[in-house]
Amino acid sequence: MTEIKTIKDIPEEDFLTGGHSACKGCPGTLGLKLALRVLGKNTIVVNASGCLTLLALYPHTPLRVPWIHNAIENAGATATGIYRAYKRKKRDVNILCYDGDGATYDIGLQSLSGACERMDKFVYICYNNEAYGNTGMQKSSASPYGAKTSTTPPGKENPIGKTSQRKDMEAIMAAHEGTYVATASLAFPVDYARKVQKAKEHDGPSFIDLQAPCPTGWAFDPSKTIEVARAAVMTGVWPLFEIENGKTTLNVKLGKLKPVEEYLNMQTRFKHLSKKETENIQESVNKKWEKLLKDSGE
Amino acid sequence: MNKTLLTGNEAGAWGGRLARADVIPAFPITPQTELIEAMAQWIADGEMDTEYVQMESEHSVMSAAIGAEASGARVFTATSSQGLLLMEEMMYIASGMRLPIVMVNVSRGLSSPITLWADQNDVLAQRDAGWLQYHCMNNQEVLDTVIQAYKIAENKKVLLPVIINMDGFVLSYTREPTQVPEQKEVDRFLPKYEPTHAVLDPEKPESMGIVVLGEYMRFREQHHLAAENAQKVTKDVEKEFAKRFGRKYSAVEWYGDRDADNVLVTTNSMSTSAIAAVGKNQAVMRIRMLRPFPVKEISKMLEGARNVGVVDRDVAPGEGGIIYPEIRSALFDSRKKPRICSYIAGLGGRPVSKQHFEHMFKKVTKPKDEWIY
Amino acid sequence: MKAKYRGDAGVPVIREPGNAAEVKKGTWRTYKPIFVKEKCTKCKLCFIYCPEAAIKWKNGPEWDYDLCTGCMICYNECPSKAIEKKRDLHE
Repeated sequence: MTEIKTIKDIPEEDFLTGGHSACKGCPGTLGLKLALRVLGKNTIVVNASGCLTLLALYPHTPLRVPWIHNAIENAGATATGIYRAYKRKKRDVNILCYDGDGATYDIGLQSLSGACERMDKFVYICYNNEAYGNTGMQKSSASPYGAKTSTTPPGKENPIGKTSQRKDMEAIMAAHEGTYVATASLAFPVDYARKVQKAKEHDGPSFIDLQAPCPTGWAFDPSKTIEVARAAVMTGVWPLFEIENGKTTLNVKLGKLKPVEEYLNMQTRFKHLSKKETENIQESVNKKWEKLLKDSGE
Repeated sequence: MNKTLLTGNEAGAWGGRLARADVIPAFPITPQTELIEAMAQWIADGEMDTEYVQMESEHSVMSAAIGAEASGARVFTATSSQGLLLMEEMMYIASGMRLPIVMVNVSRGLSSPITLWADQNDVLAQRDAGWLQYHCMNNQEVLDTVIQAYKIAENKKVLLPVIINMDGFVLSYTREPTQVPEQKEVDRFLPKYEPTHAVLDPEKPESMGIVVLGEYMRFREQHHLAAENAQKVTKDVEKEFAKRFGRKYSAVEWYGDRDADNVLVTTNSMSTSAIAAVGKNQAVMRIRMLRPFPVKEISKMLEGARNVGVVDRDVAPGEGGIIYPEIRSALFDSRKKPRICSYIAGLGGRPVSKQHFEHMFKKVTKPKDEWIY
Repeated sequence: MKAKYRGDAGVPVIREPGNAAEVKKGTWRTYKPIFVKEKCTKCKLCFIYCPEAAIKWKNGPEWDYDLCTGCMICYNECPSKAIEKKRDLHE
């Protein structure tokens, strides 16, 4: 398959239908739809418990490829099992783990780390809505500093919400030698599709962190899903980069970062933040961006 | 091949090898480690052809087992106590998905406090998990049961995972004369795994591990019926195994006078000590198949007895022995009910010897619950 | 009355791939995207962005209104304003 450079290069056949139980404007299902267009028919999807688990709700399934949901914390291990069984059958198959951030950053980290250490060949896409979405937006270690979540609500005692920083998952995954690591955004679909294809062809594990702005959880109109995703990239909150063999490549080079308020004001989950807190967030975004520029040699 | 000296772990490993397991996920835990090490060495020496993968936890072992079995591969694995309990969540998922995985459990008492030696609390905690359960008395039985287990598990009327229990240290590390069947004989007995009910294959896409609301109860009933079907399927497989390999097994076994008054009920390796202690008017009833629970056989065999002592190498604190109430309940509808009591012995691998059983046979003439030290 | 063992049919697996497309999710709509063909530049962005795969591509976008939930992402992202937003009262 030729490298995906424009929209025209993205295959058109769909392996995910509509009619499923996901919310209006769900970025998670959109990410899965696009990933399956790139990966194609010869794919097995491993899902860990999260919003998208409800896609296959008896007696309906929107999946036109094989799908297995095992449990919340074992997508990596399940992928290993499938990979080894297919190796034994001497048959090639694309294995796609498509899981939420709770299942990836927290409870499933051990299983994912183990699978990467074993160098099993699979594509792991984390659809990241920065919380445990399916159970009502509780915090996960992907939730950013200052986020209002149902278990870190701001109040009199704590006006900030979540007081800890997001886990640097990309650095953790890049520490596994041989794993292809990337961040992605639905506002940059060609970049995302290119990375999925790269992951498909990579002879080893791949990890793609896809930010999934959640209209239901972050509280904005479903039509704005892509707009919020775009703002996250343009303000430097969700930079797009790849890490391969220890080398970092910046994919979307921004001259000057847009002010972080543009992104924060689109969502109710940051409305409680004071001006000082917003400045703190701007500072840490700037610092992260500077480091990324340095690491990628820009 | 002539009889050879094998430890229980080696016997279990031979079972998985002869059954031609395709994928073996593994994680070490005492007293099972020798089993997975034996396999690793065979593979390295080119004597065994399989996909062997060491996982990073037992929970991941069962997860990988599910992924592999769901992809149509025959899976074998082994674990023990803490490891078995760590994979507890996955046990229910494996059986609910109707995946015929076969696992050897090297029985070891549970923490806390920590012990390395045998008792049955770990395997008995799996009684409700929807797996079939067979408990072995000696290493030969371990080897034979692994082979039989695949035939039972993969039967279209069953399609359930199986756990095969052997006592840690007592069997796992003890060498006993064991007959290793010929590979071609096992190949004739055990056909290839060809599932139609659940396969992950892009040629025929299916969605597995799905959410089911409402109809959940019907699927669970099917699961229960499948486990009950295993009663007859086990009998048939044991019969065929006896014909081909010359060794007979049955779900419940009786040792001693058929019309003995005083009976001790045992499972697992302590049964051999119990059998050695059998005297006049005494008998041992050994339960080999615990799930599905052979109610008919048990109530029929114990009908004529006067005094029954159920020996539990396990305890549910606050209730007592775990197998005891199952036997008692099996006798509830019998016309002639024996007097029955519970003996708790050998917890944490504390020795249960022939002398202990002679003591129990004496005490059971006046049945009264007792902890045997 | 005791149920009968149903074999493979009693195993919780869905064997009809993509049968969710039969579900009429269009009833979720409060707004409906209306295509203005003359303004369309065939950039394919709406075909990319629809989370319900309700927009098919047949040398131009075609909406399957049985599947369209009216999230209006297509309307919001269309660079040539070739999609209009209309209130949908399901009359």
